[in-house]
Amino acid sequence: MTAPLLEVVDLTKRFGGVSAVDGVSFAAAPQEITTVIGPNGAGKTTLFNLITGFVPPTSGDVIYRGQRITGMPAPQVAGAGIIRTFQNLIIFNETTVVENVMVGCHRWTRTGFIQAALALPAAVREDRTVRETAMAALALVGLEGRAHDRARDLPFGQQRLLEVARALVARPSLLLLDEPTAGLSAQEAQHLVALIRRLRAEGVTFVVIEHNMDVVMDAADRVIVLEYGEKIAEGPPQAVQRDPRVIAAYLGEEVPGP
Amino acid sequence: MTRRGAGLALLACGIAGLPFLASSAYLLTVFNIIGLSTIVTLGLILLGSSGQVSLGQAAFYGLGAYGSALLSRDLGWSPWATIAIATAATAGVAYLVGVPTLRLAEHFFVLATLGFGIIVNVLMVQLVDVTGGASGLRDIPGLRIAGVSLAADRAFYYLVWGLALAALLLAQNITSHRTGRALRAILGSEVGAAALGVEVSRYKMQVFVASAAYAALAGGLYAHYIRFISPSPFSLYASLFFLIMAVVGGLTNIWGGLFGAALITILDQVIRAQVPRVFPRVGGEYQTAIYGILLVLIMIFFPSGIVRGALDLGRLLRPVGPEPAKGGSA
Amino acid sequence: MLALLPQLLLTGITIGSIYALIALGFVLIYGVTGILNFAQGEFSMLGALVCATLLAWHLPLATAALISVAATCVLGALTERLAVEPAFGAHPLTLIIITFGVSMALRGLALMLWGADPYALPEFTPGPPLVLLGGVLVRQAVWAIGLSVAVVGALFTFFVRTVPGAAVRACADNAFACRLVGISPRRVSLAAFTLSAALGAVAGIVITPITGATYDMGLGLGLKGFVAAVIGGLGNAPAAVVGGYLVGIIESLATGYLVPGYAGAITFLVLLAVLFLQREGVLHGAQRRRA
Repeated sequence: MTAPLLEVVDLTKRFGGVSAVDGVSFAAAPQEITTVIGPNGAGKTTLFNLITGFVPPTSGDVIYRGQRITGMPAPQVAGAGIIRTFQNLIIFNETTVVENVMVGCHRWTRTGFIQAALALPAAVREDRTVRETAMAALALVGLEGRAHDRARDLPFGQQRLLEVARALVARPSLLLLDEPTAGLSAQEAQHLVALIRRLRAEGVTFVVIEHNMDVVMDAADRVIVLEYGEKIAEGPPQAVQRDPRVIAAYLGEEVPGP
Repeated sequence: MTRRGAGLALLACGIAGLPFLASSAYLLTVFNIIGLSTIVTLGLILLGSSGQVSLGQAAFYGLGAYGSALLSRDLGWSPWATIAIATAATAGVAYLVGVPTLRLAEHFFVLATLGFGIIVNVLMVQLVDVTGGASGLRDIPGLRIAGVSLAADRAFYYLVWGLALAALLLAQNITSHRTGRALRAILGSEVGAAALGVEVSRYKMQVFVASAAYAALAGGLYAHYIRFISPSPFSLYASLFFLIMAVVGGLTNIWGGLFGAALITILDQVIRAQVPRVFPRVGGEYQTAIYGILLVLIMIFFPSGIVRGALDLGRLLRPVGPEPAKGGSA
Repeated sequence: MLALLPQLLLTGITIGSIYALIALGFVLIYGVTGILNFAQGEFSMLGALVCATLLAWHLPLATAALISVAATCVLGALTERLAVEPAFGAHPLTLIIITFGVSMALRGLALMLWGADPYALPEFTPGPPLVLLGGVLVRQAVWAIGLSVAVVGALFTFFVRTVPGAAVRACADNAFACRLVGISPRRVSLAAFTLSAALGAVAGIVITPITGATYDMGLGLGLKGFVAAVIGGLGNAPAAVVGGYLVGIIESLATGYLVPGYAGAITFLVLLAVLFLQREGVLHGAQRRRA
């Protein structure tokens, strides 16, 4: 049993009187694909925000590679290898597709202000490497033909793929995808799942928020179910699918209390 | 030599040759003002490339000017040294101002810089014992190199344009490479940039301090050129003026800084000469109406600046080659 | 020293009631469109100067005032249609600069039309000033405070107790949902600008008998009104009103107790203090865009 890559321990976030996330705990083993599901407003995206440093938790801990990263600022969390995407898709609108992806290389490149200002040869070489890496990632998701178009001109499905390519070039150890198949056609979603599997084989660990049950059943090793900020179920997809509490959460029936 | 390098060399040659074509004292003074304005505007554009607008550049301009003037006049230090010291000190001030202001959202940041600019300007007027108040400071020493005075228009021209070109080159480089990509990412989305590991606060601070340093350098040069300073060139109007220059050239376009500074300075000279003929009874800053309308029109129709706007209009077909990203290739 | 206090407070409340109106104008536009309208102060200036001109053409005061407010409303609507609406969805940077441009344009135009001289308006009800609580209150000040309170009251009634008002508030919260129920966010945006212009114009007209009107009065008024709105957190109308009075009182006290030249800087120090003390994080600001 290998040590978990990510451990979330009793994580809680309260906004005023409301608990968006309430005492959630789980662990993600290396190269595992964990999906997080739950009705809207269950706290899934807030969970991601807590893990990645965009929102400070009220209590609880986030442990990554054995180190406590609770409350670490977002750029540092990303710098440590945890890369996330966004439910509403964040694209840098004013730049080209390939430049968008090149930003993803930021965390493992080094040119600072002085080196850039003086246009040192190392900076120029780095640019070449970054550009090649970006183009390769675009090829992987099938967007290399549109590399020089403006990112905002892409249709939504392709912008989603752009976001994935950008997350890839960051060489993440842990990839947190927030509804990556939303807005994708069935074929595009399959393509993405195949990509995720391939990356997992290469060593990336995934936590994915998903609404698309086909994807969940197909791709997930483990499923975590959130409702009203609490974890109400955890386990392999088939088991969770049959869990009465999960069914009730989605259908809105009352569950007899404990 | 790269295409950009060739362009820069050509520009340098053109600038070097200009005083021989247009050598009247008036024109040289205008060119020198354009040079100084270019440096300030470049700073603003650097800041703009990360998505921020400052309405307090005139304050940094003034701090550089007053700092260098006072040190050289009252302590007798060499103006070269005092310009450098004033620039560094102003950069320090910018750092202190930046700590609380840079974490504010865009609208609020603009207002904080506005407030800072006005406070500095009020201090310039009120601290009469130090700054001479509204009547200003006289007898500022000029710049000399190897015994030769650089206060003359032509000599100063080469100094200021040499520095302006260096500033242009530095800014161009900063907005290329990894740093430029990071800045443009911040411009696009601070949240998205942070999620990829871009240290947003640090980058914003660095360009903010750089923009203040650019303005202060220009201010120091200004003080030792005109050799008299007063609070009025460092008012809110001046800050707005610089903003217009940056906007005209394209708020994120480095080369546009030169273009914007030149265009607006020349436009201003033309307006000052012509408008009194049409509206004889008007005094004061009537140009503000024209600049205001200009600002609105440009931001609506040419938000990337006039040059790029014209290029975009001309580009009706899809680009066939790599499109140069804003601010230079990456 | 302390003897000055009641008078300073009365002056502060008087001018504060004007700042309150302007602050409301800011909050209204910001709430509905997410834009900070830097031209807000100019609406006050135009209301005052147009009124002064109409008066010079021998119109009775009430008529002149009404026409001025209407004219300023038209201008507010024009601003929204010509300068703001075309930049719909643009980067906040762009919108900030646009409203600044509008403010400059209006100021410059005013300078060209009216020159740099101050203009006067007569007091609404002439008569001796009132002696009150150790200080003196000119009758016009009573008008200023009274009108301000009345307008604020009317606005609250409209927004809280009427259906169209609730609709506007709903639109401020969620423009997409607004469209779903058939309310056009662009119409609401237009209405917000028009109403804010009215607020500004009223403020300008009612204060001019006390302070006079010049082409550049808008800048100071707008900035101080803005400080007041920020004190209230920009989303909170009642707090903006309180902020207006606070700013007025602080400014008055500063003018009275400090070297007058610094009074302007004091207001901005207050602005900076308020900005820094607010918990506006990056996420919060970044999400505040026009839908």
